[in-house]
Amino acid sequence: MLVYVLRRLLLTIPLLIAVSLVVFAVVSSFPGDPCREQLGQHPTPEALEACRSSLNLDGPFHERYLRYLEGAVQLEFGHNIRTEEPVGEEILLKLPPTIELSFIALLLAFLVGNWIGTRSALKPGTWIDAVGQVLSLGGISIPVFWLGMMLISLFGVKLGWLPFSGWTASEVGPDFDFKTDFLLFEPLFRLRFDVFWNALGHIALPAIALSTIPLATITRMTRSSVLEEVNKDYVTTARAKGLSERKVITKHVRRNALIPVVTITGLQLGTLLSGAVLTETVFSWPGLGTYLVRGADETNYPVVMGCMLLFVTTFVLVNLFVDVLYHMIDPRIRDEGL
Amino acid sequence: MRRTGLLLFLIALVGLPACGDGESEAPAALKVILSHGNNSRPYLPWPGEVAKQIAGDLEDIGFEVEIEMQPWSSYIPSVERGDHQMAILGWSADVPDTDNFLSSLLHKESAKEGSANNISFYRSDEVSGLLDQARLSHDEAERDQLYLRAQELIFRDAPMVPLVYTDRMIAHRATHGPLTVEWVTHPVLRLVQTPVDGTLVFLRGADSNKLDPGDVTDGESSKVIEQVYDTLVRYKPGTIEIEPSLATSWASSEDKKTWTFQLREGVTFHDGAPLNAGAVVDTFQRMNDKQHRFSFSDGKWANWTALFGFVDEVKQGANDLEVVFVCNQPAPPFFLKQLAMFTCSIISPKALEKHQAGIRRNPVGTGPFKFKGWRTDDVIELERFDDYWDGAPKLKSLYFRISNNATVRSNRLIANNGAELIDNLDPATIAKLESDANVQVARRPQSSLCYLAMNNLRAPFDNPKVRQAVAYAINKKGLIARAYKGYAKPATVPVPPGFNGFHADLPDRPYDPEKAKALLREAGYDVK
Repeated sequence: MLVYVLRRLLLTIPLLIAVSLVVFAVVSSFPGDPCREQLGQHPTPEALEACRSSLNLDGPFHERYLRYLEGAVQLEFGHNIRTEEPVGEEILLKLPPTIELSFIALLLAFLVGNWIGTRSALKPGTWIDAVGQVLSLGGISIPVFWLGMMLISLFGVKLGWLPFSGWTASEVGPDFDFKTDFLLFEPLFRLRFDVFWNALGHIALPAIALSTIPLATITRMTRSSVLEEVNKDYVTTARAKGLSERKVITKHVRRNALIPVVTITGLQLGTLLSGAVLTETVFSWPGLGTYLVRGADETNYPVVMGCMLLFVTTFVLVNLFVDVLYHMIDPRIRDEGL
Repeated sequence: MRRTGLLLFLIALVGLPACGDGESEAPAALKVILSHGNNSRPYLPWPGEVAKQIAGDLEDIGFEVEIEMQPWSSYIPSVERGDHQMAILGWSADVPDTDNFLSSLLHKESAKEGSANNISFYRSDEVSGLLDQARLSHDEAERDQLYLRAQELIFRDAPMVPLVYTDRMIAHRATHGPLTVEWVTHPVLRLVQTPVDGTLVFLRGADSNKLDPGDVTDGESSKVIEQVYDTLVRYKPGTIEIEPSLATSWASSEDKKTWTFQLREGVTFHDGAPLNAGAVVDTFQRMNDKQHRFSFSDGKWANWTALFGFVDEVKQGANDLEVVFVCNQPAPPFFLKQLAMFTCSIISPKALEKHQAGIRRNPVGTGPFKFKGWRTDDVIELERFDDYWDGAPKLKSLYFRISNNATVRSNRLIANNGAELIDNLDPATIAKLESDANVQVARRPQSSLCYLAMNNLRAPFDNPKVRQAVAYAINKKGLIARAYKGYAKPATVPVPPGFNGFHADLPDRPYDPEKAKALLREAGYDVK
């Protein structure tokens, strides 16, 4: 088992290197000269040269890439061209809003998807099944940015029920002294439910928008998984033993049906991080997605590189984690090797 | 954008010089590249749309146009070098004077490859001479005459096509006012009368960079700086006339080389330090002298040379409330307007001593609002300065918050959801804002200019006839309807109306494709 995990981890390294090479090549081909932008209209040649070397823009491609790689393995991702702060530190600051948004969206998708999926599997052909079908089709096909704008104009502007922007400490809890940037989790753990409730209101609309794609996947997966389980022999046995239908479903069917659903939920995490790019832009959410888009707008190479690497690494690690989990849970694939 | 099917293909005539440098190749078909940047600007909300309209108009008279969009960071250096044939750009005044437009955009000194603002590379000795003369004259009537003459010559030579004058706009909740759009500064928030003792949230697109007036140029920083600081003189609200502020009176020597300012008595900074000549001298000398103990600029942007290259020294006068500017040549007639810029905000020396370089995050001035706190990328909070020399403002506190999405900003204003004032309106949201009874849209008409630069050094635009043809070919009304949603006015000269010496009597070249084609034929191109 340990050998398997180690081998998989080692295999991740060439994969990450290859991906970083591709990302670096793409980012390097951006047109524009950040030094000219930074130094204004009339830079001296010396200043230009100093800037180029400080931003790792001088020398041939392979040298620049190797220098970047050397920094990256030491968790040095260069400096933001605009703010001159280390990109690694900035990313850490931008992570909390994205983590909270992704978490709530995933939680929402899991709870709702599970409930609807189970219902529609148990009562196929009823209205709830129809709702499930519409949700899973719509969730996949409605563009997130369009849905976001519709949510804003209906619930935010027309009805005025929910705030749709303003995820900052001073707006979420004007009198609350935030110690971290987790504007949702922190008040919860410090038992300030009024601030937590306020934060929940702020996060609701973007979380709903972001949850649609995982919601669709989870609903479908639950439905087919439950359908498969209810027709199995042990369910008939359980029923024959005289267990109540309720117990059969909750104790037996649901538990077994949950395994593939949990896996698929885990896999959504990687897509969520990148899906956040669109949602964050529509709701002007101050997380990693907005940071990346602004970085791309400004041809801010280190920012784009840092964010892309983070997304890729997260994606790879989540997949690896799920694979390993599978391996542990299911003895049948354990011996199949790689 | 190649519409080959529609194109009236052009064959060059023999013997026509192709380039200004004397190469005598026959000109090819009228193939041109039209460049533009990717970012929106106050004068250019949708750059791609403007380019598309212009390309369409030019193709109608026989040009073959390729549109080239570049990121802002490479676009500006490339047009400064003169890489382009045609380029779309604009100008908003930082000093409200005609000189600011004409000298920047059309003086031969501004047409140096590599650092050009005059990206048409128009190098008329006659026009440059007139502009130089106007820069030295302190007689308003005489200056106006010089500018009128210069505009006539520019119109004749058509080095560029002035496209449109655009409006500057803000929108605010009706409960918060009055709020007007100024010529060059941001809204003057000390003039807001209601709600009494209330708060105002200014929702803008990005956070401020630094709050050190001497070391920034960006609008998001100056927006806050203007509320915290005062300058020696300021604009009378709603105008570009100068009125006293921290200086109550001033006088200049006969040769305009020595300027003496009398400071207002009894003014204190937010930290209790008194306003005196020392404070003013420090404020200016720290920009002038890299060795100054308060010079904290990292050297990337020097305000001083660009604005005040003619000033040798700023020093104390006969007493503690007198300041003297000593110049090495006569100061230009718009010297006082330069002093009204946020760059010249007077800073508390006590605070400079205390915070050193940290002054950029702890501004201390004499202005109507004092700095309370700044959470990066979240909020800047200011509160009323009760001892303000010009009467304490009615508003109790100001919050500068951020939303980087123009649609979200306008929606939050309409929903009354944490926004009472917004700027940089997206034309697509204006109609919705205007139709809301609780929202007021204020505008300053026609203060910025958008223009089409033609590189006068490169074929085919080295030929004035071709440039004039382009001027006849562009349908400005259509451009305004499609690329500005109607929020602009057609431009005739490269100065917006309302500035000194604006030439109101020049009839614009009408939209006339036939006349344009005739001019191209005169220039030797075979157009159907």
